[in-house]
Amino acid sequence: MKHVLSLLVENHHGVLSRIARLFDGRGYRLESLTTAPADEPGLNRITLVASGPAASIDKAAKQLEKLVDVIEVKVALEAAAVE
Amino acid sequence: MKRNGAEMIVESLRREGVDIVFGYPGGAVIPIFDALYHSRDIRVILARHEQAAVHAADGYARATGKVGVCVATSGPGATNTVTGLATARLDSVPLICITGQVARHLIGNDVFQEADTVGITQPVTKHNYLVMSREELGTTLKRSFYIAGSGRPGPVVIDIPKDVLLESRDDEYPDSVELRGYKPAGRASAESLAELAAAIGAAQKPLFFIGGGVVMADASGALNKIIEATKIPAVTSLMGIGALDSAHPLNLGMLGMHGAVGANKALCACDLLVGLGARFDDRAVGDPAHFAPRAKIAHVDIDPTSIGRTMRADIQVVGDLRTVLDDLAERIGPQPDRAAWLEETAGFAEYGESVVEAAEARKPKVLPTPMQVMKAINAIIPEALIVTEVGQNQMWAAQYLRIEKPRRWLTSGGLGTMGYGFPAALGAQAAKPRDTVVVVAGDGSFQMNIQELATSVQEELPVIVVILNNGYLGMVRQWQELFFDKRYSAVCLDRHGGCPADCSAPKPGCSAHSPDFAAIAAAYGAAGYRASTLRELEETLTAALETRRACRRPSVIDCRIGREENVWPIVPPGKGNDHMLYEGVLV
Repeated sequence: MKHVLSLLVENHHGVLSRIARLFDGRGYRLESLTTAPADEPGLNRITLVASGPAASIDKAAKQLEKLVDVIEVKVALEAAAVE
Repeated sequence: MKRNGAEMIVESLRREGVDIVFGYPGGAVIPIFDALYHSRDIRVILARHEQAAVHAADGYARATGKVGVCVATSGPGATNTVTGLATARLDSVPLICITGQVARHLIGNDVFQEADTVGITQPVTKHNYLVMSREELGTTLKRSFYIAGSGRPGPVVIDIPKDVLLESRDDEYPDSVELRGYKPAGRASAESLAELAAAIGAAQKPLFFIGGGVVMADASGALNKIIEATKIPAVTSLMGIGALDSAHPLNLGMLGMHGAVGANKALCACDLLVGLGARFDDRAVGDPAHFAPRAKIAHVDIDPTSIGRTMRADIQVVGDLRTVLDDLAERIGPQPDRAAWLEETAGFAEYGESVVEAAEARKPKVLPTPMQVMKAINAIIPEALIVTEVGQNQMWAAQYLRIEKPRRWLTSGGLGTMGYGFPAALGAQAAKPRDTVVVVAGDGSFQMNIQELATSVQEELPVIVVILNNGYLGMVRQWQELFFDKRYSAVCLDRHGGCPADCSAPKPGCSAHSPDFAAIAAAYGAAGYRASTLRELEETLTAALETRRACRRPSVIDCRIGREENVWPIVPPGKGNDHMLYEGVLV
């Protein structure tokens, strides 16, 4: 199952690798990941599509929220809706 | 004020109230040690291995509740810290580890003593930083102390290139920091507290499950009040030991794989289990399908990701135990009559003790038994601050020692790091010079950081190490005995050239007593003792106390125990806590 997540993050050193590692470590595959400057300087908006078990996406979202550089996590839509 | 990066670090340590730094110098961090050279208010303790420096800072942090600090150089210095960091992360210990890095323009060139420290330490830290400009150093240090010590505490690595350490700048250490993405939980919601209080009031057979979070949050006082007010019995995790006096009549002991028989029985009978700062790890839970099968489970934790991670949680309370227990106490109303439950749990405890005592009575007692060793330590050094190594020694200590207060039981619970105990004890001793620090060790684990004898002698850290010496890596040998048909592969520490390749039992006279721990201790300038009877153990403990008092020297007591002593009970892997074997028999 595919999940689309939208993250608002501090544009700090290592933030992408922390996020990527969190998915790798839980058996998810990152299908796509885009990052772009957010409206506010110093912040980035990351949109990613991950495939993996539905049951643990909420756990992964909680873990993402725990990351110091992650300000906001939204589990947006199932990818089927946007494909 | 104009200062270089290294001087800013020292300013940060002062402002954060750090009085001791554990470390090991090297090319990239010479500026830090240079800045510390004249700082009389910060004691620098030179370890003999970076791993030990991290464990020492960890022991300091666990004994005091303050953030522990260590310094290591780039490359191998930094990679040597990894085990210590992972240990601290799994046990939620507040720690700052400052590592040197090669100069900025050299990063990525594989230059001498270069390693990708932030990459390597990312999975084993709560957070980490690579400081790429002198300008951001003060803020990064301030943030790191805040992150390490707040919320669910943990280790933070700050990797600082040498040229940043040497660059001067006119700036001040910040008074406060803002971290938009980091919001540790504070008070729990009123709804969740009300739900928990109502569940406790309605339960016929409630049970508290005390975890290390109660110790970390310094919430032991509040917990004791609730237990006195409600008379609800409790079990503890390995990390929760000390939060409630282990001799308290309502403390049924440790649960889980090597838990007390009574504790596991109560767990299987309760109708409400209230986890307090415990993360329901696999050694405590066993097979989740058989864990607390009759109970509604409530889980209180500061870390929302811990709740429901391994076990379902019917009631979820996210909050800091510092406030949660006080808030809960206010909401708990009059409790129903639970005389029958208290009688039942007292019966479980009594049965468990009778099983242990019967087994103990059957032992020959030529050599001291593990229980006798623990009772001797308790009797001769009742106020001891206990630090354990990992393995059988750790489980026996958890089962038999009386620990009255929090922060007097230091053990590597989550990662299970052999070699943790001795250096952690040195950190605890440095923090608490008046306390008698006792290390319960095995002959395997003590040898994993035995070089710290040099530190303990040089720094006059008079810890007392009691080695339960069975000539084996005892816990692995026990598993080989129980689950691998006695194929004692690579566990015998007394093995010599004439031994058969397929040894499956110690034979009379085959023990080489190797190495001679007392002689090693003496070679380092510590006091070394040998004991192979209970009487000798008692005499050497008394002598070690005298050595400590008279000349502030550490002592090592090499105490022989039976070679094939086992830890009982054991819940075999994959089984539930209702499936306890004691000397191979279901109890």
